[in-house]
Amino acid sequence: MCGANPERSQTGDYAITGTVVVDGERKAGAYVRLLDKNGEFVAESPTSKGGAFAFFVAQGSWTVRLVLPSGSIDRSTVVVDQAGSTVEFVV
Amino acid sequence: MSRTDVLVNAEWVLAHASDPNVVLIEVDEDVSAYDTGHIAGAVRVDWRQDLQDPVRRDLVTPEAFAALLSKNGIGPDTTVVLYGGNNNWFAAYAYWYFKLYGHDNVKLLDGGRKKWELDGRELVTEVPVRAATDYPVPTERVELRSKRDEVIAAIGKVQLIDVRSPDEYSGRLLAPAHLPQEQSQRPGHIPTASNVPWSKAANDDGTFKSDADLVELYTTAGLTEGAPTIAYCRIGERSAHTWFVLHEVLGWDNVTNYDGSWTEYGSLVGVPVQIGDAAGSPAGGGA
Repeated sequence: MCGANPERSQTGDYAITGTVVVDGERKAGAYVRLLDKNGEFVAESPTSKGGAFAFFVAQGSWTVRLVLPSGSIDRSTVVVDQAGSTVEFVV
Repeated sequence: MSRTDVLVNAEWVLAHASDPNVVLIEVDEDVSAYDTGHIAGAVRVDWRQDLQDPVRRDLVTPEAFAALLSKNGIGPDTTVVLYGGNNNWFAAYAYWYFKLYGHDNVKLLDGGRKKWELDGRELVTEVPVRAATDYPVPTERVELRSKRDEVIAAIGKVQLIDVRSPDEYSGRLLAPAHLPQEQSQRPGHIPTASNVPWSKAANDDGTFKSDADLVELYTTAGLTEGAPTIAYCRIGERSAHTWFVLHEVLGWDNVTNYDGSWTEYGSLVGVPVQIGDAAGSPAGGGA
């Protein structure tokens, strides 16, 4: 009924991580969104006390969006292997 | 019900800041967010400690709910305004919970904590002290909640709406991408369920989309107003968000929240599961 899912083993094993720095300081509680390759919303998380965020993803192309009062900043990234990818926002 | 009955904005909250009959409640996925700052006058409800039975997996008892409201100075006639982080996921869950236990005078702050913060509005750390009340023990409105056996019987017969992300629906992920991948035994979705992610009902700032956009969203996905509908997600909080949209904002009847959701269904033995992006047939499959 529900056998092996060939895609599952490679999904959620990779991570996009990063930090948000505003005016020279790591920003806690900043809103960071993950969008898929079609621009569809996948997840959103506020940054940690240290201004960090992490998303568990599959291989492929992603967009990380920082939502600010003044507007949004998008960063594209590609996850190719277990090293994942890192996205830094400096505002 | 309509949008104006169930949603308030920041101006409404500020205009009622000194109204003793209005109680603001913050409910967050991250229960520590309240300590870093909250809207002045708001009390905290902890969705784990206050809204989950401490022993079995279930809502707290009617007696415990009455005690929670009494402790926070809420009476049967108090207007409760809920808000929280993560686009009001857990505030919407609490809203459903309050309705389930018969507290009808409840509203949601549109956009929740995020819009409040993005608009640069004040947050305080002072914790309000409210005189305790003696809230009467409520009766559960079972018509707002679906349970496991009802969901299994609904496959292929009732509108099932899975509001998780497409990757969770298809079985490529077991949890939202920003959370640890754990929980249910099997990935996938309940056969015949359509997939309308909760996020499609909200704008970037967390506010709800217009009624016209929402109706188009759900009708395009094949849902029919008035037909029995069961919403589910992983643990019942995102589906409470969609339940709020369908039942409270749009005023559709016959909509329930399956709060057992995928963490329950995906661990059941012997039930049909569908893998992949298609809704599938009642028998499930697709691996």
